[in-house]
Amino acid sequence: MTYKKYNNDSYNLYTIKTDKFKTCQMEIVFYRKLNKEKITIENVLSDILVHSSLKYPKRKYVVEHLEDLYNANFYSTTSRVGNIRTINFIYNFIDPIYADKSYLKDVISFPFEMLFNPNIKNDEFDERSLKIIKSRVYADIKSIKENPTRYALKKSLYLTSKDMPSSYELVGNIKDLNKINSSNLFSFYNELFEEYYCDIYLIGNLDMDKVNIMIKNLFKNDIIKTEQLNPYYYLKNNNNKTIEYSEKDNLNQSTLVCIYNLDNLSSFEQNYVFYIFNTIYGSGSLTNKLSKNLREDNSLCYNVSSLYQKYDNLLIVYTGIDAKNKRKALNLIKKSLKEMINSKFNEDDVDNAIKYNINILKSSLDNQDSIIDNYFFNIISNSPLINERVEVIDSVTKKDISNLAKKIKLKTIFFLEANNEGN
Amino acid sequence: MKEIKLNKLKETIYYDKCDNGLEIYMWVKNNSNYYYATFNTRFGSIDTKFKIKDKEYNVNNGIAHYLEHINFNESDNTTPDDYYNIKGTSTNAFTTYDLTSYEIYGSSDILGDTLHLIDFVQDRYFTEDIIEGERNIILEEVKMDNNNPGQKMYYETQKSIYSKNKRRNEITGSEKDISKINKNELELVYDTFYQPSNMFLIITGNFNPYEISMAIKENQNKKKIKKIHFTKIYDKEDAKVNKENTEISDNIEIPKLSLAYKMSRRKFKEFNDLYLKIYLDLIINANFGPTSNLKEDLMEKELIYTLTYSINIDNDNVVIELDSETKYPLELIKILKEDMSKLVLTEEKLKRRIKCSIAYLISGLDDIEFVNSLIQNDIIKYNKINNNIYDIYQSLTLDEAKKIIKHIDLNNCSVVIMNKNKD
Repeated sequence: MTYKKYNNDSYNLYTIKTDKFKTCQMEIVFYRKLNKEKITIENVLSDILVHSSLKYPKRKYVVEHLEDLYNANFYSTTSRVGNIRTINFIYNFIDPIYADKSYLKDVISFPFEMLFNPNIKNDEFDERSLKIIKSRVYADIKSIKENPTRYALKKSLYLTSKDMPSSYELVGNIKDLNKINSSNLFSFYNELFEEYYCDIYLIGNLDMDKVNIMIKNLFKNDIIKTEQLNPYYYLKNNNNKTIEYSEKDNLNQSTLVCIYNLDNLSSFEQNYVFYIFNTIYGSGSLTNKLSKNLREDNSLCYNVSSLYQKYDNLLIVYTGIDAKNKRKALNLIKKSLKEMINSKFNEDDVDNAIKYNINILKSSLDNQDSIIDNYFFNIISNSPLINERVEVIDSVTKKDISNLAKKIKLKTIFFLEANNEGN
Repeated sequence: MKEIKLNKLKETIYYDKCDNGLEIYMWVKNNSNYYYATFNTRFGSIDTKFKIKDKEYNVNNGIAHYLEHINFNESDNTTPDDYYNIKGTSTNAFTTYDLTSYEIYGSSDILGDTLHLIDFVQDRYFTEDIIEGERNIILEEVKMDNNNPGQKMYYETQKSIYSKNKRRNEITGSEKDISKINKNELELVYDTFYQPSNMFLIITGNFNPYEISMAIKENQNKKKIKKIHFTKIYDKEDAKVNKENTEISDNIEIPKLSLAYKMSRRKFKEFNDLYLKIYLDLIINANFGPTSNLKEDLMEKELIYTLTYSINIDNDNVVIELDSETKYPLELIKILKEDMSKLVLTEEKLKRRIKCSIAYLISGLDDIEFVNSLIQNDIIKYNKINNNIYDIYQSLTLDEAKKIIKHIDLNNCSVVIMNKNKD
């Protein structure tokens, strides 16, 4: 696997050449500092740019063309990495050796055709396409309520601090959606090229020098960005007080969420120790402390998880339980963390967690998405590449883990209580 | 050892069979960093009625899933995780309508891990305490599912389609079913369905198939597992839908609609299940999928937010289901019914879909989990590896597709609407 960077001023092309896969993946990533006000319009723009273009004015023409390109797939996602908002255009296509001679040229040009020649006439996006996209984003916003766990997580983050980027609703909101029209969407399209960084990631068995020249001719934007970006978010006005909230809804199962703040972690702790800590504490197999204490020993739940939000400096623990077991579950969650602080785990647990993480890291080398994601995080935050992770993670010790556990502070307890249990 | 060549794809599946009837399927991907193995039994949630000698047994719904949970114990305090954690290997299991599958992902010791997989599944350890302890965990899993309106809609639709077919019941069983399951019943189904001749192992990744196969055979030769002859019994399902109209409400914002056509399998008797499934997929995709005029139209008119389809073929019936999120379910029903009555497929669309299906197969060969599930599906649905799938796609014709369109019977249909709860 060979990594290479092509610096093309207004964008960089990062390539990973490998003969491991029968397919290729390209990701065109736009990113800048997260702005709450722009979340909804970012979702609409990213969606409309893959929906249609001047050349393919209806979605069906886009899909037909992708099918002609041997079932290529072109879609967009928007996400958040701490303080940074990303808009990703993801493109999967078959290795050109399985296709006809003109394939490479056709397949590489397609996403740029879509991004640089959108369905715009007289400085306005096509009304028809916009109507379809707005209606889809509307449905996404409305469906938030259908997933009570997601609602509980978001609410608990909001209660921790409404200024935290992790508390923002990333599908957007109806008020902002209603303000979007074909003309202000066109202005925002220009903003995308003027203000967002753009990088392109490409993995596959391609002649990367040749593809770089092809993309140079297709990428029609020469604005260079210079703003410094730092993805890490640190909770402001932090104190050691824990706040507790609850809410009732017409549900079958209650959800308990605990939000922990992480104090002053070193980069070694962020990149290595936390993953080993979390495998022993609450992710990985059912032998982790949370599953053992809540599920296996006390049959309180089916699912209990701890999520490490590296760039937000947060740890989130959540579980679905019977309302009557709230206090017991909460005590067991607290007890599990105490056990980590007091080193109530043995060297074997550490060794096993290291092996488990090495296994995950190695298997991620078989997956194009994971390789590109890892490369992206390496570029924006200097986080280690997969091979480096495999080498260094081995050095994490029991002492490192208990020291880290001491830096984890409970900030918020949120309980979404079900009214309908047993019905 | 037999080598099953996948025609035109230049791939081989290695097949072996132990003396006790256990079948082994292996696919080697030399550049893979990890391996994936599934140990499967042909025992799913619909297999609740069976005969041993002359005695007929009716067991509780949800028992296959309950057994999957219980079988994750090796003694009072040992689970498979205790073994796999030391290797860094992950393990899990799942139950479907017609299968229970135990799975491992690892990178360090394929032989040891696979033999342990076989051993822990084949050496049962059930105690009253374990069974009782697991009951509440499973009940919480059911409550978690009941918190999901999409899941509720799915089963409500199955209940409206089928009157006797066990697909109408939740795979987990209901809370009432779960409360009735006991040790004797679990032992009965384990002894009946977890026999080697009813099971198959699939291993995909980087390994030597001859070495693995030899070790598995040696392992099986040492075991004495009592052979029980059984026959599964499925009540004949009527071609009529169980209930034509159902209206329910839930915690949602946008109503959901399911429109399901049920027809006798006999109408398509000149087509085997595989051909029929492929043709129906092509036809329904062309008329209701992303390249159809209808979908684009409905989106533009804001009549739908989503439109998806599914097809199920069993011995008695063929079911075509259209699912949508729509604010206007009654209007949409009329439109969908109208379009179902004038299904079309053109030569151009047929050729394009054939090309896509082949490209999908080739790109799937990058993924050892995809290939494992492809084999699993072939064995469960067709009881063989469809090694000529490439040729099958190439042999599809418009005339045959038109014949199938003619046979589609629209006289029998069930409608389920899920509305928003009244405040």
